[in-house]
Amino acid sequence: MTVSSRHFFLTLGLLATATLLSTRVSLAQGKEPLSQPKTVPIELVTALVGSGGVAGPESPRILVGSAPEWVMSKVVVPAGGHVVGAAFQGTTVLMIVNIPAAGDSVMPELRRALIEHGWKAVQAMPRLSVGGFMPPTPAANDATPTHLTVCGDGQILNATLSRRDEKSADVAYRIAAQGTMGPCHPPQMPTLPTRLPWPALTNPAGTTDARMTGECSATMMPASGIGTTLHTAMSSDSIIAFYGKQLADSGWKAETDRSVPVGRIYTRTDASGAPSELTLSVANTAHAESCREVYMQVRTMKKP
Amino acid sequence: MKLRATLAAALCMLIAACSSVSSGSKGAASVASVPPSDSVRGRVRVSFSEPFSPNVGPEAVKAFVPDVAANEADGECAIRPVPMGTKATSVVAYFPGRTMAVMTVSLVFDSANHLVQYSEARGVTGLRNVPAGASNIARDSMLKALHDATRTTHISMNYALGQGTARNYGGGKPDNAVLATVREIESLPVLGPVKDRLARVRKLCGV
Repeated sequence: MTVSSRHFFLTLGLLATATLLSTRVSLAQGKEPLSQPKTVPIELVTALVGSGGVAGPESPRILVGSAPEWVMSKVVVPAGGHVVGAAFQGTTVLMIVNIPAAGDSVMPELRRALIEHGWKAVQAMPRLSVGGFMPPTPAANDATPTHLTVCGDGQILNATLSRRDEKSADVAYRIAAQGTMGPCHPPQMPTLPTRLPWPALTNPAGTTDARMTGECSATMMPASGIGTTLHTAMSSDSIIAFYGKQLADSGWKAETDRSVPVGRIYTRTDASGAPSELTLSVANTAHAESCREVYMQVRTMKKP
Repeated sequence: MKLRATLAAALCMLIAACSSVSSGSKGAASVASVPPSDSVRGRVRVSFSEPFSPNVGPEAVKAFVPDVAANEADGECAIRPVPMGTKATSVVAYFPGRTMAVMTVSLVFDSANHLVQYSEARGVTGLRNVPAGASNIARDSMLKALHDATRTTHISMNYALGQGTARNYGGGKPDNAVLATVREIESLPVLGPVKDRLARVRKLCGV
């Protein structure tokens, strides 16, 4: 028998097998077909579209009044809430929950409940720590009165609250696979080849470098060292105490027996045994009561 | 025996080509590009299985014991169109989760939304941590090494043909497989039974 004739008979055999088994096909196909609702309530469509829908080349599977069981096991539905429906495409599920009486604390409480359920808070974005005065860490945007983001094992959950009226609100839960970059995978900061002599000090929350905004004009320009100008209601002592805590956390010790007119001296010994001395001082600017000039100078001394 | 093995292998190729789900298939896999047109989307994945010789007959089916136990803890799902230019849909359930699956169940529904394929893999469920840009040859080598190191139980049912297989393979041990009707495979108590798992997966995934 040649190869081609063997293939011919094999093909015939396969066809015959398929034909003989066709009676079983009808029995096996008694399985319920893939379900897709013929009609979708306008409330669900509005909420799904308003929440951005789910992207993909094909139309998503829509569930009315329910969500896939695996999603329900991962989320927490606020008290009094009921599932309006869900859309499922790829690894993304968008689920709508209606809360008839939604107070202002729905999202903070939901965030707390999700974290208790095993989700994790979004990590703060790392910042390049070069030294000197740095702007305050921006407020975490993973939780607001209408939005929250939490991270799971390979997944990210965003929930958004939209009010239907004064009392009722919809919460749209979006569960998706985590990308290689994003809130659950903050980028790694590069290591700088050289270090600045000053420690990195984060400015008080709500302050900006007032030299950039024009609110204050700097008069004290350090000959050596580094400075910043704050537009703040904090007193000079409070500012010293604020930065002093950060310095203490990084190993600097306040010299209580030595003082400068408006400021403080701190000392630290580095890994090589060389002592360093840091002077932190605060001064009011001549132009405005609420402008403070903060100045930091570091001297490294010879080993004793 | 040779004809039976060839027939089984040919059936496996048909199943793989129809389902386009290559979870747990041993051996080479290639991806052929198809020029896009109005009626044909994207690409077609063609998978090849190594030939194996399943045992047949009621006694052989009753004697089959899966080497890898089922793990139905938790579960996550994904739903995708089958990339064959049809409206067929593939639903995959990962146990206990997508990122650390030790068991997967794939269901393929045809364009009329009927279930045509059930595929369950316990043990090797796919490649993870594949370096970016890895070639198909490199991926194939990684998959083969994984199968050589890990015992896998694979259950497959083709509802269009009314035929299914249950197979233990890999992990340095000899193959052990049975070929039977879908009804026999899905009701075999030692496998779950599969019909109960099918119902659970459909509920889990909302399909």
